[in-house]
Amino acid sequence: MSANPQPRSFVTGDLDLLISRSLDGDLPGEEERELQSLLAADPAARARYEAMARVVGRLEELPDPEPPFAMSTRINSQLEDDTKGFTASLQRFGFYFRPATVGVIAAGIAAVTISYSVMSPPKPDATIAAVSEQAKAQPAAVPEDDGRVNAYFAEPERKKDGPAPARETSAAVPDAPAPAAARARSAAPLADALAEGRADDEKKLNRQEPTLVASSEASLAKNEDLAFAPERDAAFRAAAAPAPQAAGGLRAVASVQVVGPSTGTLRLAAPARLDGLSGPFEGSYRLDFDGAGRVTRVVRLAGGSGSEPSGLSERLKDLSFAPGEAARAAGTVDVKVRLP
Amino acid sequence: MIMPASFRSEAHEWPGDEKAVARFLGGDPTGFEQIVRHYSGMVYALAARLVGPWEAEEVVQETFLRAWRGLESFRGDASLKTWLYTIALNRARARQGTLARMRKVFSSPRTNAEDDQPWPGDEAPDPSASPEEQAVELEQRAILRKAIRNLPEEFRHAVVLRDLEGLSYDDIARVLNVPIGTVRSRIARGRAALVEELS
Repeated sequence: MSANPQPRSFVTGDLDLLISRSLDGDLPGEEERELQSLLAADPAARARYEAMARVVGRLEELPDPEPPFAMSTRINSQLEDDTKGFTASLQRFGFYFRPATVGVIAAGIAAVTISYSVMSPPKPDATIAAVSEQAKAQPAAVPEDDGRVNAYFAEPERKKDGPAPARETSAAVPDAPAPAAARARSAAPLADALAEGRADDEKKLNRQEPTLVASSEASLAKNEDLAFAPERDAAFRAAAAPAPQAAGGLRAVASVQVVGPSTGTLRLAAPARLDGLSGPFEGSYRLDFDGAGRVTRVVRLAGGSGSEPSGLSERLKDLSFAPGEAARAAGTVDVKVRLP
Repeated sequence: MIMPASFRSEAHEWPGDEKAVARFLGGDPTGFEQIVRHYSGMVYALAARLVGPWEAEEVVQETFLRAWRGLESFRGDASLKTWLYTIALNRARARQGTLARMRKVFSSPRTNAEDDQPWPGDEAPDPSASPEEQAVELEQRAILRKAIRNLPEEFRHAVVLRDLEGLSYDDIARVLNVPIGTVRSRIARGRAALVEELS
């Protein structure tokens, strides 16, 4: 073994690595001594070392770039703007959504909502509740020149338990298929107007339609005892069940309607029982009633169409009227009966 | 200038990494303001060396926005400076990628004009030197910066972090997310490439 061992030769890459680590003080003692021996023996390696040391020295002498004036203030202001709001709060807690991701999520929610609304049929309770809410929010009045007040509508095939009180018919509405009930409600005023020839146009009535229903619902909700309520503006309508489909897509319903000069002062105290009577029939009657509002005499007036079904007069005798405060005495009232 | 104590804002005093982060995470926004004031200059220097001074402020802005969003997840395993440098490096990469794509789309190759002109804030190293000596020095700086920017990205990042930012090998390994042996190798090869470029 030689006392002065020959320095190990390095390929250029290895030498550069050793020199670089040596310049950073990263070489362990033994490797550092080995490198120093090589540099002492090899001028080329020494030159390489000095060149790299020069470059490192020049790099370290490069001054730091000076930040633009007030950069940190600008950054803080910009951060304040960028980190406001709900999204920023989510991001701060680790929920970071790219704008594209937010767009995709929003589109997905919209698609699901639209699909659900298209695929799902409307629910009866929801429909009626919506109408009731509308009624509470905006009680409507029937126009003064509308003669179709104080009228009850009854279905031709009502159950045998007789005519239900107004609030009972209201309660029965949810049991009926909602779309049909809604159609019956919506078509009733229009059918009346067309039959009487007093409809200005369909559009006007269609506009009034939900308002009239709302008025009825509101009255039912507010007033527990409807028997002698003198409200003139409350257009009682009880469309409890789907009505037969009339020609032209309109639903005709059996009805007894106060006409003539008494329309403003009288209304039926309870819905007329017209179930079991077959139409089509339309006729006008003059009814005498006593001080309690009960009908005492029925006289058919001229005109009308169709043959009068048997039993109609007896049904009309069962009617009773709720007079206004100014008309509590016995009297006479004209009504129009319609059976689809 | 000595500022009266009453004029000194808490936001301008540096409480240290731990306290500033704790203050921010506790809901006090001045904690992050302090972080920005303390580190924005350093992050800017790194960004300028990586993408040039004209794009650096954008990188700094994005870096601190990301930091704001992610400070909740900062564990404190590394220093806040190392963590910010990691974000800045990634933002610089993204910025360079964007710029490269834009140049490709608009067919405008990068010119040497940016490398040749002095950087904002460059000043003469020795005010007592003659104007000729100062001009030579500025030219040498420009040449060196250009050589750095011409390095392959992996070598450039390693050399900048070591020789210009003064990070340790361990910190560089964290920032670049590579083993320490790779860091040593990249630094050595980067320096060797600079020697060749400048010789």
